[in-house]
Amino acid sequence: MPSAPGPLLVERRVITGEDVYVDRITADGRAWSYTTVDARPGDGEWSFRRAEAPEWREEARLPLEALAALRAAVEDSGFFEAPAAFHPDVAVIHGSSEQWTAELGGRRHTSILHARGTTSAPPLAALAQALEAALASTDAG
Amino acid sequence: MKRDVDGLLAAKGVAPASLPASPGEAAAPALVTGTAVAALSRGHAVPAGGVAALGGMGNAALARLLARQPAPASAPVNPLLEGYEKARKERDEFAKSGKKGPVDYNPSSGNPDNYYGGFEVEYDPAAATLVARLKGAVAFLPGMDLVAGRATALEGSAQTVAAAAAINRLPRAKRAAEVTKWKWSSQGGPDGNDEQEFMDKFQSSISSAWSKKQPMHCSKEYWEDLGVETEIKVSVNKVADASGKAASQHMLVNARKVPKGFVGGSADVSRPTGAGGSAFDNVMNVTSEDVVERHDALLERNLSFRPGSALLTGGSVQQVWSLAKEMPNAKPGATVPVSNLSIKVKGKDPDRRKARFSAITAHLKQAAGFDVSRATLVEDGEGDTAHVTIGTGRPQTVVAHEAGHMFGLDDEYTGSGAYGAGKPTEHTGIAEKAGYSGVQHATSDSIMSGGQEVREHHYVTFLDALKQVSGMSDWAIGPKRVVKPPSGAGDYPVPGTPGGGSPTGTAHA
Repeated sequence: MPSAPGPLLVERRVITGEDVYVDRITADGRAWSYTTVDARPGDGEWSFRRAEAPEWREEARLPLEALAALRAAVEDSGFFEAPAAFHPDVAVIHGSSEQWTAELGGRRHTSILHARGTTSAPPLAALAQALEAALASTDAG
Repeated sequence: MKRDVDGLLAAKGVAPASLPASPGEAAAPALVTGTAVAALSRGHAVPAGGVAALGGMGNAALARLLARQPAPASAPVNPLLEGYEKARKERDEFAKSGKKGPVDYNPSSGNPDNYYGGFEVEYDPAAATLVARLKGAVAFLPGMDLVAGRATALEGSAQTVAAAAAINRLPRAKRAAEVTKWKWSSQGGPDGNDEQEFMDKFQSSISSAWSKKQPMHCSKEYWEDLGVETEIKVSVNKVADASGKAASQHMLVNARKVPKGFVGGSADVSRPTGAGGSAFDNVMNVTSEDVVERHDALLERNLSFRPGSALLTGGSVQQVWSLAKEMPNAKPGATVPVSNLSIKVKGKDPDRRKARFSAITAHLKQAAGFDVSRATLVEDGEGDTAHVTIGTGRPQTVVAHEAGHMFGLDDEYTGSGAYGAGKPTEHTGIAEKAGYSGVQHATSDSIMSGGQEVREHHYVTFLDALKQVSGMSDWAIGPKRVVKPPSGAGDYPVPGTPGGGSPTGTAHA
C-alpha cells in the first residue's frame, strides 16, 4: 500500500481476505479512499476485479462544521479507551474485519473488530456513524 | 445319564421311542437329533434326551449295524473357519437389521476442538448408504440499501463497501437503479426467480461437491465387504427472518444479494452457543453469488519474466515467495497429501523455458524450503510469462466450502495467527485419530482451503457420525474389501512369519 496521506484524524479499513477498502479523513478535513477492489457499475452489469495499481484517491473536503463534528465524535466515542481488538461473542469461522485508527490531541489508537457484521463494539459503531455523516456532508450528487 | 454308542447312527425317524436298556439299565425315552448324530459320528457320548429312535434295537444289534457302515473321514476342526462363519452370519444379520437413525450429529461431540456445525444422519446397511441431511432456513437479505440518498453496504465485505463508494460517486438520480441490483426480486431487484434459483443451486452445489467422494467400509474382521457410500441431501426453505427457522433445522442461512459476477464477499459460519451448543444453532452468512464457482482464480498465479531473460520480474518474485510460504511441505510422516504445482512456462526455446522453470523453483526453495519435486514444468510456447496452477486448479463454490464447516471441518487456508501456514486446524486432531496425520493450514486445492477437492480426511466427521448412528465403532474410510474364507486346514497364521500377524481371508477389492 502506498504511504497514506496525513496527518490522520480517523481511518476505517474494511478487510476481506486480501482485499481492503479504506476511508481516511486527514486532520485538514480531506476525505480519501483506497481500495484493492475495482468495482464498477457498467451498462446494466457490474464488473469486479482486483485493482492493478491502487492509489489513494482524494474524494472530497469536509465542510468545517462536519470536520468539527467528526472530531467531537472521535473524542466522545470512547475510542481511545477501547480495547485493541474486539472479538465476536459467538464462534465465527472467518469473515471480514474492520480496523480503526484515530489521532487526536497527541493520542493515537488502533482497534480491530473481527467478524464484521457479527461483533458488537459500541465505540466503533459510534465512530462509524460519525464517519458516514461526515462523508454524507461532502455528497454533492 | 449318558448312553455310549460306538459308530454312526443312520437315524431316520423322530418318533418318540424307548431305547431298550442293556441288562440292568432302565429304558429311557429318546429322540433323534442332529446333535446326537454329530456326537455319535465323533464317537462321543450321547446326552440323554438326544438319542436316536432305534426301535427295539439293543446295543449289541446297534453295534453290528454300525460295524457295516463306512468309517467317517475325520475332518480337522478349523477355528479360523468357525470364526469366519460366525462373523459372516453376524454380518449378514446386521445388514438385514434395517435402517439406523435418523439421528442428529453434533461435530462437537466427537471433536473437542469443534464449536460449529450439525447435520442429520441415517444409515441403511441394505442399501450401503449413509445419508447426511443438512436442513436450513434461508433469509433473503439485500446486500445494499439506499439511506438518505446514499448507497450503504449491508453485506459486510471490502468489495461491497467499495461498490457502495462507487455508487455514491454517481449522481443521486442514478444511484437507486444501481442499488436495486443488490436486492432480491422480492425486494424489487431485477433478477426474476432469483430466490428459487439460489435455493436450487445451494442444494445441488453442496450435494454434488460432497456426495460419494470417499467410500467407507466396516473394519471388523470378515465384515470388510460391508461398504458405505455417503449421500448428501440438503433441504432449505425461505423464511422472512431468523424467527422463521424451525427448531429441527441445522442452520439459518443469511443470503445477501449481490450482482451477478460479484467477486469476493464475506462468508462465514457461526454458532452463537459455541462448543456447548446444539447441532441446530448455526448461522451461515453467504452472498447470492456463493452458489456458483468463484471467479477469482484462487488456485492460479500469473508470473512474468524480464524479456529475453530467465529472471522473474520483481512483482513475480514476490508472488513466488508468498506462494512458497503458503504451501509448506508435508510434515515428516504425514499421510495427508499437500498440493503440487503445475507451471506452464513460455520462452523462445526449450532451454529458455527450462531455465525459467529453474528460476521459479529456485525462488520457491529459497523462500521457504519448498520441495521442488512438487513442481512440474509444462512447456507453453513462446513468450515471457508463466502460469502456475495449484493442484487440480478447480475453482471453489463457496457454499460447498461453508457446508464443510456445517460438517464440522475447519478452514485449511492460510492467514494470520492460528491460520498461519503449517499450523494445525481444528480438525487435525480428529483426523489424526482416524489415521490421517499432518492436516495443516496451507494453500491447496482442498475444499477447506482454496479449491474444491474433498479428500479422505474430510470424511472424518461422516465416519464419526456413522459410528454413532450404527452403534458400532468398527468403520474406516476407504473402499470396501473382498472377504474370502480361510483356505482350510493348516491355513493358520504363524507368528513371526510374513503375514503371521494379520488375519487371513481378506483382500483389497
